[in-house]
Amino acid sequence: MAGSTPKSVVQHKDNVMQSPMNVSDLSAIFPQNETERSNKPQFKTPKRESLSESANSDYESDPPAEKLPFQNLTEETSNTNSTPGCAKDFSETLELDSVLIRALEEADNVQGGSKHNDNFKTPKMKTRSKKTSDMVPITPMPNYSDLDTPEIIKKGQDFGLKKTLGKRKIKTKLKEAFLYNHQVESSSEDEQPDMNDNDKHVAVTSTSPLLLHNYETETESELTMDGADEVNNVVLEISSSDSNDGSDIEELHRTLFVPAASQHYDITSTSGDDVASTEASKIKKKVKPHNVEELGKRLLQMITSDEALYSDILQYKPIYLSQFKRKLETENFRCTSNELLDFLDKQGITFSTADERKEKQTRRKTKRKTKI
Amino acid sequence: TDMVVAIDNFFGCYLLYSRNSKYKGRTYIGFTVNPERRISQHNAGASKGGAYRTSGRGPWDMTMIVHGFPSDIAALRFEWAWQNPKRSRRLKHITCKTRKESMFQYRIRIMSNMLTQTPWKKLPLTVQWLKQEYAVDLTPLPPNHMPIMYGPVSAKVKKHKKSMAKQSKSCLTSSTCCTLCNVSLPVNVENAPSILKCPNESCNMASHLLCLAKHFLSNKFDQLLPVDGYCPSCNDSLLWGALIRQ
Repeated sequence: MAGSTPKSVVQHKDNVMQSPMNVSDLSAIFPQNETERSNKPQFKTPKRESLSESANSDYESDPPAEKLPFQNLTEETSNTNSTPGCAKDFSETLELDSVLIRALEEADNVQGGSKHNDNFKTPKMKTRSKKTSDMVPITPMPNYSDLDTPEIIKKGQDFGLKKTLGKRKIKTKLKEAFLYNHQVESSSEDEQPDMNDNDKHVAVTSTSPLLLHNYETETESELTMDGADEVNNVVLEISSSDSNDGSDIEELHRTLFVPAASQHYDITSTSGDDVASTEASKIKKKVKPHNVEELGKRLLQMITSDEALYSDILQYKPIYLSQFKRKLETENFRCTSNELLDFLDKQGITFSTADERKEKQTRRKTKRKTKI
Repeated sequence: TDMVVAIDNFFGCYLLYSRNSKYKGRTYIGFTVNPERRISQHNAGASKGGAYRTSGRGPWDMTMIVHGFPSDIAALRFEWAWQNPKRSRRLKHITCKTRKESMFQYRIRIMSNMLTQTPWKKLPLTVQWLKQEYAVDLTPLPPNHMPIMYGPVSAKVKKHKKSMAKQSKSCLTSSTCCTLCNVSLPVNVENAPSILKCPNESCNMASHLLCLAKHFLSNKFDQLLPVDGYCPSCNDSLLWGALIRQ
C-alpha cells in the first residue's frame, strides 16, 4: 500500500510538467536555444527524482509536512535562471501551488489517519488535472506598503479611491480589496465541488481561513506600525545620527500628526462610562474646575510638583498625551481634552498624540474582533 | 563652509521656491535634519530621495528655514500646521490667501503668524533667510527671543571633539554648589542634564535645572516654561533655549 502512493505523486508531477516541456519544444525552433535544450533534461530528471525521493521519505517516516514545499521552493528558484519566459514561471507557480496543497492534504491525512485509504488518491488526481487547465494561481499580495506614492495613488484610483484619501488609507483599502478579490481564487472554490471525503472538505475549509488570517494580521501589524512604533524608531534614528533623511519623516508626520491638530479629543466622552459607574468619580466631577484660569492653576501646580515631568518639560522633551491623561486621572483631575490641549499650547509644551492614536486604533480593532 | 556655523541637533522646517519656468512660483514646505543634504535631494529628484511633489520641478531654492526646534516632534508639528493652516486648530484665525498674494508670500505670512502664536512662540526658534533675494520683512515680527539671521546654515553631523573637551573641563573647574539653592550639585555632570551653567566664560554660575527655571519665572506665576532671564551671578541676559542646548 505504502509503495503505491509515491507512484501516483510522480505521475501527477508529469502532468504538471507538461507546460514547460512545450515551451522547450518551442524554443527548439530558435537555434540559439539549443544549448538550453540540451541542458534541460539534465536538470529536470534529478528534480523529478528528488521529488519522488522526498515523497518516499515522507511516507516512510512522517516528517513535518511543511518541509516539502520549502525544499521545492529553493529548487525552483535556482532553476529559473536558465529557463525561458513567463510560461515557465506560470507553471512553476502552479507546481508550487499543487505542492503546497498536497503538503496540506498530506498533513491532514496524517492527522486523520486515512493515509492508506485507496478512495482518497483517485479524486486527488482528478482535481490536479482540472487545476492545470483552468485554475488561477494564487498570486502573492503585492507589497503595498513598500510602493512609491504615485503608484499607490494610481492603484487606488483603479478602485475608484480618491487621491485625497491619503496614502495610509489607500494602502489599507488596497489590501482589503486584494483579499476580497483573491480569497475566491485560493483554490478552495475549484476543489469544493469535487470533494467527496469529509477529510478533504475539512482540509480545504481549514486552509483558506488560515491564509486570510495571515493577511489580516499582516495588515494590522502594519497599521500599528504606522502608529507610534515606527515613529519611535525614526525618532531614535534622528537623535542618534543623521543617517535618516527627512523624506521618511515627511511621510510619517503626515500620517501621524494630522489628527493631532484637527481632531478634538474629549476625555469625558471616552471615559463617560466610568463616570456613571463609580461613586468616587461623581466626587471627581465636583472637583472639576469650571474656570479656565482655575484649571490652569491646578495643572501648573500638578506639573511643578512632579519633578521628573517638570524637568522633562523644561528640557523641551515632548510629553505623551495618553500618559499625561492617565496621570490626570490618577490625581482625580477632570477636564476636556480641548481644555488640556489649549493649556499645553499656551505653555508651549510639545506633546505627541501618537501613542493615543495607537491606543484608539487597538481599541477599535478589539471592538471589531469581538463583534465578529 | 568654515564660515557657516554648524548646529547640533538640527530640526528645521524650510520653504522651497521653484526656479523652473514651467512651475514658476511653486513652493514646498518641508522638514529636515540636514538642510544642505535635503535641498540636493529635492533637486536630484525622487530617485535620490527628493519628495515626489518636487521631483522634476526643480531647480528649487531653499529660501528660508525655521530651525532650533528642540525635537523632531516639535518641528514636524510646525511643518504640518504650516502646510495645513486651515486644518490646524491653532491657525483658524489666519485669513485665506488673497488674490494679490503669491503662494510664497502667503506661506511667509502664515509662518510669521505661527511664530507669534502658541505653542511656537515660546520655542527657541531662529528664522534664517538662506537666499538674500527672497528675504522680506516679517509681519508680524517674531518674538524678541527669536533671532532673524541671513546666510547659509548647516547641521552638525557629529559632535566636535573640541566642544566635548571643553565641557568636561568646565565640569571639573565648576563649583559644586548650586548658585541658587546652595545644595551641592552632583559631580558627574555628564549624566545629569538637570544642571545648567552660565555660557559667559568669566561667570561660574551653575544651578539645578528646576532652580534656574524658578528663578527665571519668579515674576511669571502662570508660566511653566521660561523663555529668557538674567543670570543670577553675572546678570547677563540668557535664553532658556540656549541654556538647554548646551
